[in-house]
Amino acid sequence: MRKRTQALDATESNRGIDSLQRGMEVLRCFQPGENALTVAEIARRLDLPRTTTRRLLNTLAAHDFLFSVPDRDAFRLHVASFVLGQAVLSGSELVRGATPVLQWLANRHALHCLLCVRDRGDMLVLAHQAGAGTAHCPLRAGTRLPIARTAPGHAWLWTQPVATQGKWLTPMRASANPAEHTHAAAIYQAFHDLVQGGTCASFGTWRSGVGFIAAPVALAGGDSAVIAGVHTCAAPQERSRIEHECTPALLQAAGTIRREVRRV
Amino acid sequence: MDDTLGTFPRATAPSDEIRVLARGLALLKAFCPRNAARSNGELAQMTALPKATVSRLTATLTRLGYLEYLDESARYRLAHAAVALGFGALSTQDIRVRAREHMQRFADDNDLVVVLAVREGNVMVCHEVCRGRGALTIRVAAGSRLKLPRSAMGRAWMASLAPSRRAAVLRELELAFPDDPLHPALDEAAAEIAQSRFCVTVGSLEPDVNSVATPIDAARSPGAYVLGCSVPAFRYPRERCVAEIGPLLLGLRDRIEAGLETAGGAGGS
Repeated sequence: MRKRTQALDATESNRGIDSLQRGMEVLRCFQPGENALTVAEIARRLDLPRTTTRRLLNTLAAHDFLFSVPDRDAFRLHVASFVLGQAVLSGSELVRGATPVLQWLANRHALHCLLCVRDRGDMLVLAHQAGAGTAHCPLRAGTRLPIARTAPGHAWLWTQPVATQGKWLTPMRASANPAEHTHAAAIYQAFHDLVQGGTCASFGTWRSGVGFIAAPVALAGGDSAVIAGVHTCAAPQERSRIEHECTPALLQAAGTIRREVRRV
Repeated sequence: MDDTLGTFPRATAPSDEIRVLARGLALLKAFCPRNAARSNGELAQMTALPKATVSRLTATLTRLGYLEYLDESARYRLAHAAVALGFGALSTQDIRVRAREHMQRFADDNDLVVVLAVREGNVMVCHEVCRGRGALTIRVAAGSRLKLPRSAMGRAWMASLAPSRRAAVLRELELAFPDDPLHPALDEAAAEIAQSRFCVTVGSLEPDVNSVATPIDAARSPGAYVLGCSVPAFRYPRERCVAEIGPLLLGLRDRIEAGLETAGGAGGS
């Protein structure tokens, strides 16, 4: 009897954890530029029954994380999602320490500059500063950049133990998809560049016409963040010039952020 | 943020609410607006949940990566991953992004604090706050929660509701704020909004601070935004607020609404 009760408790507890996790996944499934998502679309993305999805959505809406769109079977993100993100960013020593340094870097090289940390398979942008006179850039705090396909991700992976690097690279090399081999080759090239000069670059692999030059920032406790400059210069020669010119300032900025955050 | 301005409202639960998710969300909200580190005991007190439940939730949210545990203080706080819970998608398309530039210019030009807020339960949550260089007045930041019936923005929001909805919200407020004289203040604000499209409050949130507010009329705006500004009472008594600040605020509102129209609606639908 006791065993049975314990088993039931464990099942109940797991179900609760699943519900909490699923609720978080609903919030994560909204992508930049997406306004409202229908219940059917959210259910499809999360591979959940529509009734379960609707209960999750109603609960999230009751707590103002989502807003039920009138006259449509759809939901959009709402105030509590914004306030939560804002609370993280306003309370982060890393963001506070990095922001003025990113602004200096952005102004010096007329770039958009980012601070990113790892979030599952992505690099999550925590801070974005635009240099004076730069054109519009679709990146901002909360944007996610895939680790396998962008320089910020490559720079983070370079700071990781060999075992972690292997977990990323082994399946890519074993894949039957030639694109995965290309990504793996780009990561090895990035590792080489990081050893040689401390930075790595990627172009057009996240969005057409958008390039990154990235440098890791070692943080206390063995963790790593990455800072990156963003440009939209397609001409290869001009791109090389930007990357070459930015490297010393990027490394200087990474060093300053490391010292600033450790002092906090 | 002063505690006197903040409350933690409990929303009305839908009949099919998932309890563990609702509790997890309440827990996450308890870290707003500044992500102060909190112990399980403090969280239990703030959310009115049993401590054992809080302990389970904090452990789960830590395992999922949305909270981090601080060894030195034995407290929790939101981890960076919580930024991935919709903030990025929201920040690229929201009214705030489009309103911010207008608001900052307005705050600088007039040396005051201007706020964009949304009603959440019994409070008005400040989504965007811009202040002029010398603006001292009320100490609010993005995420601050102002008690709805005491804030000019809350009163303006109430005035924008249909009569049946207004009556329902009023009943909720009467329960939540039994000591506040709601009727004269809310009725006066509604009359002011009907007459001039803005309302003025005198020292309702903090002494020596007067406020002016107007609802934003964006057909597709989620949850109806309200624009408000605060000024020092010694410089701007009620008469000057009505004669000068109110019309200026309406001008700002018109510019924001025009921007939303150009962009195709408040949320970029």
